[in-house]
Amino acid sequence: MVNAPFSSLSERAQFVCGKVRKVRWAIGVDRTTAPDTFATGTWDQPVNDVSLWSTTASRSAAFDSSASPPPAGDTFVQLSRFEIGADCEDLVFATSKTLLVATSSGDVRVLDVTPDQIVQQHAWEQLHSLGSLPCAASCLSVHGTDVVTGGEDGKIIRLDFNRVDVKTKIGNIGLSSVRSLSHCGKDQVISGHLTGQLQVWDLRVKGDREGGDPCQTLAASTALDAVTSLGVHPAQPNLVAFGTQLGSVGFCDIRNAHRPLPDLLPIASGPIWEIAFHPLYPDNCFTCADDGTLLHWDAAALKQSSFRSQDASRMNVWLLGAALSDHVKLTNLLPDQKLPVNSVDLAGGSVLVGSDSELVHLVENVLLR
Amino acid sequence: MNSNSIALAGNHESMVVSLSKISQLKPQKTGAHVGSFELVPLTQTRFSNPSVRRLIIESHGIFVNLQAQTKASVQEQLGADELVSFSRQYRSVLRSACLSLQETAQGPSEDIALLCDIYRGGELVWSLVELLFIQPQGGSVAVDLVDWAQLNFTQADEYTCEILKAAESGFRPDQQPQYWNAAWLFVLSGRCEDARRLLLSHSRKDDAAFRSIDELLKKFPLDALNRDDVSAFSDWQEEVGSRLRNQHFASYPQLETIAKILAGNDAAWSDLRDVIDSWHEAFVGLALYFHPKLRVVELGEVAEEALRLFPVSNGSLSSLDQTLLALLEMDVLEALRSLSSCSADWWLVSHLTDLLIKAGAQLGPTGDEATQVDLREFLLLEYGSSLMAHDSLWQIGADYLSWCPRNGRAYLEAFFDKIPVDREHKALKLMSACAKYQLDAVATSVARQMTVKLLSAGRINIALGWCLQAKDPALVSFVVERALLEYGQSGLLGSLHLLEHLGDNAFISPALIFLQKYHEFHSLLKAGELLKAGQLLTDLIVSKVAPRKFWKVLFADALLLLDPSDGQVIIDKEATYQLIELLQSVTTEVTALRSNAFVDSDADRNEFSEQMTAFRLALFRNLGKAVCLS
Repeated sequence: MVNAPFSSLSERAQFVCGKVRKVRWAIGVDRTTAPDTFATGTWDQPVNDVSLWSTTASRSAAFDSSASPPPAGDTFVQLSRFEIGADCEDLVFATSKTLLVATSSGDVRVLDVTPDQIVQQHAWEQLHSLGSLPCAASCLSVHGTDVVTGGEDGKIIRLDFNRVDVKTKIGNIGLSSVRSLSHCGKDQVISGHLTGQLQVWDLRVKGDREGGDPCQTLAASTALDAVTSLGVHPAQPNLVAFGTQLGSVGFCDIRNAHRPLPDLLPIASGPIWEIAFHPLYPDNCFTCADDGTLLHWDAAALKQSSFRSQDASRMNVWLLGAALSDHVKLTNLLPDQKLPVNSVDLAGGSVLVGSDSELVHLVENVLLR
Repeated sequence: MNSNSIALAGNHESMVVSLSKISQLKPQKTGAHVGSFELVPLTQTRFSNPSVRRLIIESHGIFVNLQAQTKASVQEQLGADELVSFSRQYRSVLRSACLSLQETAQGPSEDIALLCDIYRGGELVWSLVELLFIQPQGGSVAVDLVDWAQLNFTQADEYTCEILKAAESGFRPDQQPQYWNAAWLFVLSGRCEDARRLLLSHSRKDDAAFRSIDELLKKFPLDALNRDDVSAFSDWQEEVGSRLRNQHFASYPQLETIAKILAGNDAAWSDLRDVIDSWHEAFVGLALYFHPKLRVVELGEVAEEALRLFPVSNGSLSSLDQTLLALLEMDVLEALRSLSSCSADWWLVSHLTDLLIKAGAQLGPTGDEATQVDLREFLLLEYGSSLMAHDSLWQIGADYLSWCPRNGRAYLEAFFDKIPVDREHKALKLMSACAKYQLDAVATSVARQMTVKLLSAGRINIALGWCLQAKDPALVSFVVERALLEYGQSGLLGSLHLLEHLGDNAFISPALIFLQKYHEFHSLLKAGELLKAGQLLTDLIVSKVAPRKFWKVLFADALLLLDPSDGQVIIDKEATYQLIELLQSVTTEVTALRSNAFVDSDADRNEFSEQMTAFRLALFRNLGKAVCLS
């Protein structure tokens, strides 16, 4: 049962003209409050762009007199913009000033981001391709200077942030299209595929020219149900949450993959485009789906032992399967949303959301326990 | 010679026209390119304007809520209050679109100015529709018109702003050229309090005439009309009339004009001849002061009267005027027709019609329900279609089409088929939308397009993932056979992790079941479970499910199992007999009938024959071993 949001929530939304594929908070100094700026990447427009926005800048400070002022009543101010042409597929802040974009033409671009302008530092072009045709670099993950990208061509490629020429292929030719990717720790990467599988890769293993086998393959869902999103628990990188094409969410512990995975929880009627644990309150998880739902999963209540059996008492709450689905508190933070919600990012008590209604929403004062 | 040549090329989004001048036809056609231009439907560029885009998206939200709420309500009928609320939401987004257009326009633009005019006209029409057809009836029509005027006729307010600005710079208000115009327009719109305030800024406000008019304006009994207390209103008008006759305002002709209007005195119009621009401005005053008791059905006549007093300058009414007149005459169908001609696109007419029908407005002859439904559907289909033709508004367009019960589905299928599927994320989005609207055939088509694209690029492993999504057995078989041929020899089939994961999905195609089993065979081999592997391989060969060109691979696999280094018997007696029998029929086919079913070319046939001979030998040797051991 999904609850309506608390009345203490405050929501601000702004029309940004362009379907928002990804929203990302900038890297803030203080992790307990939301930063002042965030980035967005659009998709499905004739020319797509990556923009930097401010949640607090006053209009007069942000604009010089020669530029036309933004319309009255704007809650966010667009500080700078960079055209990427092709769709934005994924967006990651590698440092507070560096933004990585994966595009649907198979490129990964490294952008220097400041309030005045966004400039491309360098780009790895056509990392992913289908023969002579380009194809999308569907997902990105960054850990330190390590950048890993997965694409529609089934390739997973490892790059070094500081060295443009270094490209290592992970995985061999047998992979199906990579839909989602995440580092789970320094040396491990987990990938989610079109064919409903999760594969875990050990970056320390030197593969042959063709890449090598994954150290584990897990059946997350069925072969007709792609794994469309992945989220890694901030405190326990072996605990991974995933969302699927048919609207289910699952959790797994990759250290105990031989055990059957807990049942999938069907919570939406469309693909789950993003799933993320809150970085400071990991008993809270957020999912956004194609049917317009943005769900806040509050599993804090499950910490009480009354819901758990003896042997389950030491397990992480997210792995409790049926007990989780019975007792987790689900709240839809955007009950009026009609069009697909594509992306969510969390900082402090603020939830940043991007959707196909060409809006960026900021939901604040979310109750986190 | 010199002739012009035109070339055209187009797609669903635009058309390119290219002009060249041909200077010579023989011996070779030569000429020069003069220029090219692209023709894009106006809606394409217009829908790319942020303010218009925002209007489209926000009104979509309102529309969907309206449909859902109607469906969920008792007898699918919403109450007047709820309908008014939706109407106001629509008007609000229309107004903010207008304001936003003006604010963000970069420099003067004809298109933007035109659009603004159209939106303002739209607001004018919509608020009148709300007044006449959506608001709960009851109360005075004249009073409603006053509200309508206040919302839409802003000329007097603009004049007042100018006057105030001038006053700040030290100029006397009553010396401003627009002072009296503003006062008269206020009075005509029934805004007596505003007129009063303006008059109080006159330097002669303490004169008797001014004080007299001030008193009259203060006593203006608008509430009385609302209470249907017509006698109070006529008493007041009597009072005005008597003061007029007693020359209270003789010293100030402008005040006299005001009094004439208030008293419902026809002489007022000749005074206002040069002040009033259009019949709209006169209309409300005419209704309020000259026909205060008017009922809704009489509005048309009053409008005609206003038009007679202030005819249109060039003789023919604009579409907007025609719309307003038709509405006042309660001819909704005619109004919608005129509205379509003065609109930029289908947005206004379609949303308005939908709302009107829900409010129970009579669109056609009574009892003709079909016309209403058809009209609504026609307009929504047109609007939805115009959105579908745009790059990124297909999701919104699809939603509108889905609310058209008769033809929506067919339109949805036709349009979705045209959306290019060039990247995976788009394909997944499309498939999700297909699931939402239950367009299974289109979903299959999308998955098929992805599969074919991947096959042409030679990426069969990925094509395998997509062909399953298509749920098309023939396609799956095709891809599997390609996969077998491509990967069978190279041993890469072993790394297709997908095959471990198929479960019941393999049953869509026998070829896929075979592939799954063959992968299992390789896994068993890798795990060292030779006996099980041997059994499985025998089953696979004997079942004859494999594509024929693949049999040589199976035979090669079997050969390895028949000749293990440790002398173990992996394939047992019964299995060996089955294989021998099968081999016999294959040999007959290849040597006697010269069939090429198992090989790629004639040349390979000999090689295959040799392989079969070796296989037969190995089988007999195996039989011997098996018999000895048993």
